[in-house]
Amino acid sequence: MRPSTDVGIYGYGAYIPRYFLENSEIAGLWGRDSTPIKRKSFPNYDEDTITISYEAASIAIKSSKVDVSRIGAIFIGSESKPYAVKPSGTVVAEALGLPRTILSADYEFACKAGSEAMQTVFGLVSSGMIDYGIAIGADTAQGKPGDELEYTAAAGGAAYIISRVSEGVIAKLEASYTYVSDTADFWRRSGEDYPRHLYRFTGEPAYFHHIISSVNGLFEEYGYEPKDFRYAVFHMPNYKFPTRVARKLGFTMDQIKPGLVVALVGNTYSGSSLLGLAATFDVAEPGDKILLASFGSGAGSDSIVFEVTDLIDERRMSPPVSKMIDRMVPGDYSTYSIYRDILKR
Amino acid sequence: MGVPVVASIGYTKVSEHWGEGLEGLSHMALEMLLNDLPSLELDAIYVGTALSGFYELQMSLASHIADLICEYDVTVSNFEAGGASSAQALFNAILGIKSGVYKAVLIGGVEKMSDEMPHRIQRGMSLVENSFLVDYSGLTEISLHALLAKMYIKEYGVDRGMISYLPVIEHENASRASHAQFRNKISIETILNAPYIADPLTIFDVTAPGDGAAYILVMDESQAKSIGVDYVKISGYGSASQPSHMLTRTSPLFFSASSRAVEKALDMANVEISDIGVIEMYNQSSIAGAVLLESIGVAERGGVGELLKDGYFSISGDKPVNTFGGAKARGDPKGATTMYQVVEGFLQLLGKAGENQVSNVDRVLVHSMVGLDISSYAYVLEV
Amino acid sequence: MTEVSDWRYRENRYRLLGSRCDSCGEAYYPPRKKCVKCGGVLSPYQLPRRGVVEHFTMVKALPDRYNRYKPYYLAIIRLDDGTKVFGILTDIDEPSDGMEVEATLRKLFIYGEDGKIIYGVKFRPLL
Repeated sequence: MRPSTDVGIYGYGAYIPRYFLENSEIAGLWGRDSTPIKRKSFPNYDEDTITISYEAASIAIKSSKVDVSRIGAIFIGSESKPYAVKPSGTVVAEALGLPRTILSADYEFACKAGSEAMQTVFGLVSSGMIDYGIAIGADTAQGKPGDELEYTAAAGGAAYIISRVSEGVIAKLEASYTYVSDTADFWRRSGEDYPRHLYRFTGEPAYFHHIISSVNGLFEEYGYEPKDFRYAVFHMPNYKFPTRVARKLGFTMDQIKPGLVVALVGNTYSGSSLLGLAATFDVAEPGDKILLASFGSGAGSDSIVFEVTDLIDERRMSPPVSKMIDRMVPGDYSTYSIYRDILKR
Repeated sequence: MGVPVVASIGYTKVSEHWGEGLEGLSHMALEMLLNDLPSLELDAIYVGTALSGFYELQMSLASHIADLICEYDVTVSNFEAGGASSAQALFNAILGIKSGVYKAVLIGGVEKMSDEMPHRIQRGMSLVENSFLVDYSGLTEISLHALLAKMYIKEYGVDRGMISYLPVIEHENASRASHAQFRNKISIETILNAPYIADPLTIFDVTAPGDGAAYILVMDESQAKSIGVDYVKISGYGSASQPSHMLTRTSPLFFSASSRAVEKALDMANVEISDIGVIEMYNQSSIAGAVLLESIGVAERGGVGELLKDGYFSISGDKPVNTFGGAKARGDPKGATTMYQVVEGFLQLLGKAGENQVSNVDRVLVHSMVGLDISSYAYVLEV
Repeated sequence: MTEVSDWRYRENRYRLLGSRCDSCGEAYYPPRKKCVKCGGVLSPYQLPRRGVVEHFTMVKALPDRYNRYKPYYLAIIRLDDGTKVFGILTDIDEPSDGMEVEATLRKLFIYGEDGKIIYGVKFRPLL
């Protein structure tokens, strides 16, 4: 897909809550020997997807100095929206002082809700319906105690302010692609606290098939090859999957390294690939091409190509993702249980 | 012009009265008050309660108290102002007597706090403060006092422990008071080593919830004389306010409302603070008491701690305060507290204070305030 | 407040929107109608979002609605324009007088499991 009018990223921001839980502590509790990652983030008891979205968007606005009166949409993609019915977007919009004349429905497509929000904003902005739009992917992922996914279900998010290239962008959208099918590898029924998944079925038929189909589709349509890209960011449910899919598609470790935040942060679900993208923008240089390939269970993958411009240095987010990771402090399982509302008072 | 006097008193012990509600407590106090009195014509019944609506879901209490004693040809009024609820009731009754419109007013305060859960107690205590601050900024009455303490310690560079000599005195006094809720003496070490409720204040620096009812009969002096009861004159009264948000005040460490209210009451009674023999003040915490004493001129700014420690404010000292334990040790059933203070002033002046009797006391200052000195009421009682 | 009255003050509560005197410049949060200092008229004013902690205390006797959570730090914060506000500190284990803080949006309390979530400004250390 290519929009009729060129669009790009005007500014970006990301936020990771302060606390982390060591995987070894979870493993010790349930009697497991190996763990998929080292540690994962968890939110304070007063944080949720709305507050995380607020922080990420706030940083994006401050770092890019965008004129908020020109924002015409804010879409938050999440699987942990605080209300089943009541948009998260309007709370964040009001807190940021955005105009009242904005589109602000919430998005859901498991972990690719954020990238879907981005694709929608690309369309709205390029059509001229709006001047600027914010696409956010954020989650406080629900990890069922004792389940496989408890080790990785984390909290965090990233926000992208999108505009037409003529406004001055830090990265141009070159092309995007999407590939979906009805493949329910992981889901959460209404009213249920925790999602269900089908273990190994979430691998080949879900994650790998959709990302590979999406990226190959993009490559075929627009003639890209892995070596065209300085960096690539894949959805990170754990450490193994993104490194394996990168290898399968022909990318090197150097290309995916900056975005591979999962080892110390965990899987921030709708925020995952968008957070990896933010970490990549933190180090990217003008002229760099970046591939973003998200994955959402249910299932589908958005592949998006950006080319970084000269404006990147002026608008890098402050603090960078690395500093946000550095400030994290350990919390024990008991604290985690209270803050995640697993132990209710 | 009438001359308002306190002619009779009735009060319960301050306690957790599991067996009594608002009416039961009032009934006990009123039986005591009406005991030796011939039947008389009441013109009005004024009742103060801070939280009967919030805790007991009973409002318009004065009408129900009138009904309790089957007095119907009266004017009833309800007063709600935290720990100054019955102070407001008294203020208005005085005006009625002075103007000659009323000859006798029954005034009282009653509070039922023990039915409530701790988090509701805190919410109730904070209702008098700015609701935006309480609901959204996390303010509570006690934490407001704690921050005041921090400001005090930083401003004057005094040792934090100094202010807690006040509850030591209060508990000492209450140990000899049969109607007091807390009759245990406590040492400064106990207070300082107790768990924090909001640092630097510990649980012994602040008042606790209690139930109680206290009623007084205020009448025109001529009527008191004709009945032949011992009475105490209300020779001065005054009230003032200041900005409710502590951070918008010019000097948070000076209680300007209390200072002005006391100044007005003393002026009207034609006396100075040095003429006051006993001070019954309303302080919900040790720090509030400390700042209040400095604000009404019985201690230098930052200097009250030394005086507290030296016993200057003890029963045997130069300026006894809270002679039956004050809100901290006698108890603080909010809406009734001012009435207890008047009762205690009455007992002192008529020589009926028993083991807590201060010698040669002619004048008692009764002070009350809403929240942290948002509004204040002061009275001079004398024989 | 109630689930309806909270809505009335949401902009103030989300954005630290107070008021400032047209005559003498004194600022207030929460907003008020008349200036305490000079009696002048007040207009809406966006307070600065950064400041310094002057004093703080840990509130252990928790009030209704905040009792679902743990004891919190209540602070007096002097914002960059000199205005002092009360605020809850978050994301900090051991605050200190003089530490720099910044306003952010956090959950304040909820009206039970099926009730509204009320958000508002809290203060955290700089990121």
